[in-house]
Amino acid sequence: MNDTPLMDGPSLMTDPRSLPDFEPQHYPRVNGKAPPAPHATDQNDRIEVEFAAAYYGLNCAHARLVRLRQQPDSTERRAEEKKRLQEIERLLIARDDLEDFYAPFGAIGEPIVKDGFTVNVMISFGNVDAFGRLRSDAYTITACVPVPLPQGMKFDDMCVTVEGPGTRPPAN
Amino acid sequence: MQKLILANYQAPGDVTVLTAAVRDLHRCCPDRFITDVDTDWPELWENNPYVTPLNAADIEVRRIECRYPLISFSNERPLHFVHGFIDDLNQQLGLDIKPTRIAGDIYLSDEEKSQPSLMEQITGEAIPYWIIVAGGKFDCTIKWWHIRRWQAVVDRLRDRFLFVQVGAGRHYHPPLKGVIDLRGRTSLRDLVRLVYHADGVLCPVTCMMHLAAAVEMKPDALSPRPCVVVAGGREPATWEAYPGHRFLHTIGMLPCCATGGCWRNRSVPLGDGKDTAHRLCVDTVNNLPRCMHMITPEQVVEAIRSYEPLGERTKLCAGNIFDHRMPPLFTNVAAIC
Repeated sequence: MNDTPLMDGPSLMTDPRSLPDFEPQHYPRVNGKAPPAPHATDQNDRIEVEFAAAYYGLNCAHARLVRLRQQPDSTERRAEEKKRLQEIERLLIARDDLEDFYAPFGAIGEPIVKDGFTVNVMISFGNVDAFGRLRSDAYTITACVPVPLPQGMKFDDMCVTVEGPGTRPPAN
Repeated sequence: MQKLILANYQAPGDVTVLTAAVRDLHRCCPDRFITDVDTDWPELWENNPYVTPLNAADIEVRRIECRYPLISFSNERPLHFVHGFIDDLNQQLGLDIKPTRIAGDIYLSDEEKSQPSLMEQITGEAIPYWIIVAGGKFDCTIKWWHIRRWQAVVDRLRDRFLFVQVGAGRHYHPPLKGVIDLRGRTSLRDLVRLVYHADGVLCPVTCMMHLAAAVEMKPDALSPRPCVVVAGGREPATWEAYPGHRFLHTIGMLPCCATGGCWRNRSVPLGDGKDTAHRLCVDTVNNLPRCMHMITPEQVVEAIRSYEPLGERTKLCAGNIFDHRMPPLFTNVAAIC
């Protein structure tokens, strides 16, 4: 991950991994990997940590709702279900706020959902490409194109000028 | 006749505008020049009657680097982007070319025109559609409107318009729901053909806006191609807006664009080495430039609907096309809850 200035986040988030009731089975991966450490300071690392926390919250709330719905129907259960749904709505709004805040940075977080739970969040960033290279970095693409010499000739016998790195055959 | 190779290696939007200068060079100076072009976007020059392949090694060929320094006066003088390359050619060639049309000049072959549209190839039906571009390049994030606002426009027009989302895979184009998703799946020539068949275009100030004006119209078209541009305050409308377009801007409404476009590039620093203070937006609302924040989905919806009297919508729209016709590959659905 490239070092970039840390921006003020949308909220002073408490990393769920530092909480005593942390449920690791609901903590999603980010870009297929474990999210960065809670104290990460790089901007893109912070984005990953915050998106992971947002979807962790949604996963936990969803799990509570699923457990509740397994109970027999009753007035109390329906009242509790309403609360759970309101909680999910609040968390979705918080997730949307997070997306809004980081959208101008070019960050896009797309959840991969399995059985109602976000298991992975695919995040792309504005300042680096999919390979982690700064988008503003110049880079070269090289190709090896073998050109056979006429039979019996050596490269040094040829009256051609070839420029660029790696164009001379290795010395014997 | 003088042989010219007109060169420009800028973005496809710029080269689209260059096509206007080549057209007007020939219209204003008929039979004086043979022109070829050297750009990164040959797809924009296909079937162009003003382009003749020339040999760059031919000593009779003059190569001209085409630019538009006139942009430096875009906030003060009554100029359109189309004037930019033309003025530069006038300076370099000692001519007096006048713009004959405020639009680029992109042609389709008869075969291309007769082929079913990309949408028809996907769906099997000639469905009316609008193109939507909900993002842009990373080097100019200030042009971006918010994804949630683009989505709100799509949602509110769901029963009336079908949108096809396009955008280069290497740029910022977050996925919209309820649209046909062709992001990263179109070549530039595909886009030209897609524009030809489109009922309209919705976009920020981007290549697609120039294409909407430049791609030739269908023979039965009554007016220029509808296009709604979410522009904000970066660029003066006089420089960017095309006749017939709804160019939603905030020039004159904010201190930072009180008398003209700010021409800044970034909403927030991205930390990619291209952030400099003079390029950074000075007035943001939750990281969105205030000028873009001031443009609401309602305004955009109203602008799109203002074109409705031009053509009768068919009953095919996003509201029912997803139900039974669209292969899932091309659609985005809600991912959670």
